[in-house]
Amino acid sequence: MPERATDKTARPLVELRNLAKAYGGVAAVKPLDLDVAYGDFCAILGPSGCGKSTLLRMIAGFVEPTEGRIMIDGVDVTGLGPEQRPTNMVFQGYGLFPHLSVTANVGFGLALKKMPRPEIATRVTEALRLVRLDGFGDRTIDRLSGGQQQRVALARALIMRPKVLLLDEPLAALDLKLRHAMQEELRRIHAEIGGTFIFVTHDQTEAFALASRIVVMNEGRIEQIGAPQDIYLDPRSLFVADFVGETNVLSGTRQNGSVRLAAGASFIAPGAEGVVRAIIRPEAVRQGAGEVTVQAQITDVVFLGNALKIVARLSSGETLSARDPDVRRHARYVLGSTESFGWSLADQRLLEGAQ
Amino acid sequence: MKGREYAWLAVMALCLVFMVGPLALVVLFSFGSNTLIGFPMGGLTLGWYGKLMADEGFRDAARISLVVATSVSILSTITGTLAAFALGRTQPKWQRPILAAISVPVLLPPLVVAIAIVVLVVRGLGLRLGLPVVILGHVLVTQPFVTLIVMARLASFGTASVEAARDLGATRWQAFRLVTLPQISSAIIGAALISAAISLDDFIIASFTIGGGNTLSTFVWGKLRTTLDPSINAIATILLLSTIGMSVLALRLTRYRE
Amino acid sequence: MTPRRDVWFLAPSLAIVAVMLLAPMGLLLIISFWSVRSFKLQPDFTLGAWERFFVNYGGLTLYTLLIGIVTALLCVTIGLAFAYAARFKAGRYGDALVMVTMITLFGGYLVKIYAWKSILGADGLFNQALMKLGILDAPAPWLLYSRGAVVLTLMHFLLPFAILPLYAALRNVSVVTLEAARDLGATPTQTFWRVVVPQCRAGLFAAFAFIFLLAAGDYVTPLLIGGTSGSMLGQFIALEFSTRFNWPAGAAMSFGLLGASLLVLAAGRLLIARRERA
Repeated sequence: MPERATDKTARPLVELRNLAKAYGGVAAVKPLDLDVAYGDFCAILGPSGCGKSTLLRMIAGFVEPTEGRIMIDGVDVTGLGPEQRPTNMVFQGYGLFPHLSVTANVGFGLALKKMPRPEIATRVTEALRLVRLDGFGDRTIDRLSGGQQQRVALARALIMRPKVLLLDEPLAALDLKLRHAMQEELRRIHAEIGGTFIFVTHDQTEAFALASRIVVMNEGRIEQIGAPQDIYLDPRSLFVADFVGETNVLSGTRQNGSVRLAAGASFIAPGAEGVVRAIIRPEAVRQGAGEVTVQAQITDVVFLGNALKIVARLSSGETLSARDPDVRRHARYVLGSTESFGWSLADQRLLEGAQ
Repeated sequence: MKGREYAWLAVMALCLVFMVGPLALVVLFSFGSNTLIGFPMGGLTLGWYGKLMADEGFRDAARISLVVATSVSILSTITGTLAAFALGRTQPKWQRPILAAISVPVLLPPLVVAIAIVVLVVRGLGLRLGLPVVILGHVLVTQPFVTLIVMARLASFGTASVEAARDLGATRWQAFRLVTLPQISSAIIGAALISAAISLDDFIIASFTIGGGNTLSTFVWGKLRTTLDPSINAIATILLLSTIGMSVLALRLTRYRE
Repeated sequence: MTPRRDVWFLAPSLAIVAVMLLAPMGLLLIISFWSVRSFKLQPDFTLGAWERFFVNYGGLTLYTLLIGIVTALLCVTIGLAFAYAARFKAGRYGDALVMVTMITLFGGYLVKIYAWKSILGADGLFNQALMKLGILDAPAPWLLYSRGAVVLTLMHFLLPFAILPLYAALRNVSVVTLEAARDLGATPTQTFWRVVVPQCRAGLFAAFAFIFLLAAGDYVTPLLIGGTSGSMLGQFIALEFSTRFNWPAGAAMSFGLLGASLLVLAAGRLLIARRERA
């Protein structure tokens, strides 16, 4: 229902240039640049207080930036209020109007534009069908479940055919099963209408499930932008590696083009001399030898349901976390015994310095 | 957007000035050695207060007001708190009508309430008007407030601590005395203060039911009708500050635990 | 705690209400059909008092109701503006503002009337200020002892009774609904009428009803401030019960006023229901 991405020019739909927001000297968002392309399903991911909500609200028009510009579809909207921007938002807590029925809620924006009643009715039916709430039109808000309320909020925003749909922690209030169901719904709707969605979340699994592009934020800055697999497999900073999924961080030193880990192993890795950190995902670490091998003493074995998690202590004192997808091999891992663990160089990333 | 902000600021400021202004003026001019309320004010003086203290009528009225207010607050706190406890446990089906019944005296014009009381006492019971009637009349209009305040406190009061006390061996009465009461005491005291303030402030019911003698309010009325004595400002200020003082205290107490 | 206990707990408060208010009101209604002969009350059945009420005081009653309506409308309007500002525009000072309002409630009913009498009087503050500014040459007597003065004084006393319940009602209005309305394209005015006001409908009517009843039934204000042009029914009711000692007349007038007031409120209710359906 938002405009189809017919205009596939090289220009992105949303352009943020040097955008920043400070509250009385404290920077909530430090000057940043960001582009969102037509048809993107973009997630802004980060811990509480990283500035992601502020950023979203700046795009929506509820927060005035301290510096920088916001362009939507080539138009500078920085000075415009939310009523005038081609964006619509699904709010945290939904903000449904308690005194109006579902139909009246969904049609609110169109009624403001003085659209004729029959036309509003048609559009409302269309919107409700899109979010799979057919027939709910006459219900009152207090009779709806959390998931249903969320869908009404979604319909109310989508019916306006915004160029960009913004979602503020859309699934935060839902329980796990409902969350999974709604994730599928959002993906389906996005595919069906081909619109541009930007949503904010602190939940990394949610970002992965929904987004084609992830923007990781920390302390007001963008740490990394990329597709989910890039963020996960190729983290550019310790923060990203740590925030997104579990990771092993092993320290080492590089000298003469080769790195020696404190845990004992060494390998060829050209680059500047100094301290480095090796980052390996637990799934890449297996029992036995690999391109990089270390000795570690097993301290814990945890049954995760779909895999075994093996925790071991390295000679350097650091912790190593490994995975074994075959849960029946539980007996292989004896607490207290020292074993070899290895991984391939392709699964490992090196970060310079002690960041 | 800025223009709009100023408009709202103006609204708030004007309303505040409107509500507080006249009262502030009364207080201000009670310290002025000149006429009632007007400039020039003359020098600052406590003379009017001194004159007041020397006035026997004032002292009697003050004494009577104190007696009435204290009795009223004690009585209505008891009846209102009991009602609050009972209502906290009743179903909404009964709760609303009963609460409405208790609140009726506040919803009717005070004139009608005062007249009804006079009719009851003089015609219905053939008794005489006097302080007991004033006290009961005030209880009539203050107990709804006590009930509401205590009910609100009880609603946010978790029964978990009481159940824990019972589990540890306390009897029902002990649990009430050692666990419930301390936690709701601030609300009860607040309600008592509000009752006293309302009683002090009341003029209409007192003037109809007091028979002879004066409360502070009827004393002020008397002064208004007779002389145009600047000491009116002083009495008014005393009345003002006592009622406001009590309500401020009450508000602090009833909000503290929220 | 058994239900039996509850009954005992409720007994004192309910007894007081029943005995001191409800019973005598019933008695009062009966008395309105009695008559008075040489200052003694005679049980009777006559419509004399009621006739007198409609004939002599009909106009005054309507006028009294009008003052009540005007006062209530003004209080609710201004009160809503203040409460709205305190709730959505004042930030953390909102609660403090309402607290101040609550405190002024207790500032002495009589004291407030006296204060306005002084301020509006011939040698009062307003006249002094106007003369100093050169707008007037001589004090204007019409500031006091007029209908306007009565409404103003009533408003001063009753405004907090509007602000407090309206603020409470507005607290239940979530800010997110306002943001959502803006996001969907509503101007501030549209947001106010379509999102805020509908959510505090109940509070608005309750505040109006309460203030209207208090204003219409007031007698001290018109007595001290109204003069001849600003008199209200309440004064004459009080008169019948104090000096004239004509209880049937006073009773009829009291119930007449109450009845008329309730009619006004019922009419108001209907009007609102009609508009909602539109």
